[in-house]
Amino acid sequence: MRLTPRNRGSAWWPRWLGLRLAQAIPVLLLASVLVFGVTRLSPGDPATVQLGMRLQRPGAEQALAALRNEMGLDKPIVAQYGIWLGHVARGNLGTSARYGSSVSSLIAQKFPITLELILAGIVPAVIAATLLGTAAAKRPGSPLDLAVNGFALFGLAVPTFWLALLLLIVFGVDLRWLPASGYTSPGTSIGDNLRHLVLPAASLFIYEVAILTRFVRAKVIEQLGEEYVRTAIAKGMAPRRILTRHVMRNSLGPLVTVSALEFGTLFGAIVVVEEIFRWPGLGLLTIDAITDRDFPVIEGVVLTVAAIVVLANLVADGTNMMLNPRVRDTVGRRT
Amino acid sequence: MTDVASNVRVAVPGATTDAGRQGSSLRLAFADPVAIAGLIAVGVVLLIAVAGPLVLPDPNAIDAPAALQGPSGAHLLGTDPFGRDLLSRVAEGLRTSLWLSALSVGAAALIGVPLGLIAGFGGAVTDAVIARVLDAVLAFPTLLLALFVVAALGPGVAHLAIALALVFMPYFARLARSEAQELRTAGFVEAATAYGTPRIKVLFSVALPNVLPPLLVQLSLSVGFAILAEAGLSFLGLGVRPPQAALGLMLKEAQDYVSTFPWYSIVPGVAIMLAVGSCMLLGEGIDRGLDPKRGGGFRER
Repeated sequence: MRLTPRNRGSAWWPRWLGLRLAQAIPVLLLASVLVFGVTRLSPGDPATVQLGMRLQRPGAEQALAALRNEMGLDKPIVAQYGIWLGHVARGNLGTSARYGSSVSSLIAQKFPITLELILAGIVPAVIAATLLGTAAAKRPGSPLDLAVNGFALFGLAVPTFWLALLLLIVFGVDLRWLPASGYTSPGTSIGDNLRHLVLPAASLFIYEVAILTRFVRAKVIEQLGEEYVRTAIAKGMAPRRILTRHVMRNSLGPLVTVSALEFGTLFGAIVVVEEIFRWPGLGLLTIDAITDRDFPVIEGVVLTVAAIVVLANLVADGTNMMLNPRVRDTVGRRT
Repeated sequence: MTDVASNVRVAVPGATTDAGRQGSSLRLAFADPVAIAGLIAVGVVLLIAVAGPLVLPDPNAIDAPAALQGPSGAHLLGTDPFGRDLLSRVAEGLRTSLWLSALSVGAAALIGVPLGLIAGFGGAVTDAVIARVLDAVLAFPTLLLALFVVAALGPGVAHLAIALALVFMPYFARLARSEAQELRTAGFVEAATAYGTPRIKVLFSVALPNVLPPLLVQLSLSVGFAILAEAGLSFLGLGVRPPQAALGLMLKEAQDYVSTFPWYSIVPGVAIMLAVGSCMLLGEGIDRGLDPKRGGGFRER
């Protein structure tokens, strides 16, 4: 017999999805306004900015005139944005001045390379942080807790690119245990691909482990202070069981949310890491594009990453809802 | 495994001594020893940055024969490829980094806090609009957005400051917004409104002082993150330009010497770490003082 007539299991998500999309779509639109606006802040004629180094090629005059017309530069700025957004919505992010190919195909080609690096950094970090953070939270103030805290502060304060440089010096140059830079596609040799992956992934891992460990520790300490833990102890439940069955389960949802946020943040951190290790993903593509003032590429990457971040947060939120029925009841409340 | 139980006992309300809560919230902010340690660390970094140029050799004095040397009596931290004194250059780099970060984070707070207060106290429509704008800025990873803005405006210190102010603004606005939402229904705010105090006055003279302590935490953490971001952008050649000394720029130069003179890569990195670490220590210390029960979970924006 069910004591609570809660058959909301199938009913919560359409409402949730509707509300979340009603938030996510304006956010994406505003983000696109930001990308459009910042690009227009760049000094010079917008069509010239888009063409970049292609201006030096023969036939640039016609290309410029055609592009001016295509961008609608004689129309008001709002109309220009509308034209641009129409292109973006159809997946047309422009043409790279350097590569001559479409920006969307470049991004599609580089994205898996970056995704491999980010996942190799963050997935081990989530696992390690769960173990370290929980262990530290069990005895706040103990030597283990202090050590974990000290390490976490170090991981936060150390610049990722400097850490990458140190790892490169020690393991790539001095000890020669691992290749210092470069990339091999997994299709050519999986072993080689992984050897190249270790150092850049380790640079991301250390920073993420610091952030996530602090988070897990704080969350578990907070949960241990909750009344349900007291009740469980009073009922004589084994401490280990309280920890695994209740405390960690309640901390998991927030951890998913934060990990998704961090997943997004890493799309910023990879820029320097990929530059140092010459890992040919989105980060290196961005840096090269900035050097060449290849604006369609910069715009395309920034916009794509924003969309990924919004999507990742949406997925994390949904996962959180599935994991924790209590959060579902708050659907529709002002956030 | 009895430690779980003992921890619970400590965390039960009333079991902890809340004596510190009697004082003003700002005095409370510096009650924790971690805050004192952070304050001292920040003081030392500031001292190096401010007093360094007065007592140290000229950071731009070139002395080619003395290039790439380790620490010595003449050059306490050694020299760079041009024979310039590394300690002097670190001091100058720290100074650039600190004022640039303080300036941009200050600007971020000055724009973000009023925006957040208006959202939190305003009607549902105002709030929804501001909240979505903040979400839109937050959809971009900090470093990538700063990179993009600097790429569009062109490299340089002023553009870097604008970029950093933009990326840190939403964090302040979010903080002020959530504090304002809580305060909206607080008795003393309702009382002030009932007495006919103008809305804008309630906003700034009643609500603002209450936002101040958590704001201090966010400020010191943000300055730390801004130092990291500035170093990263200068490292990529998008921030401070040579010959001005910047820690990120020094690390970029050091990249060419990783196998011949690794010491050059160590010094600026440690300097960044100390500067950032002291800001974070201060932020965490204040946070602990404000809420002794929370063991420092500060990235829970």
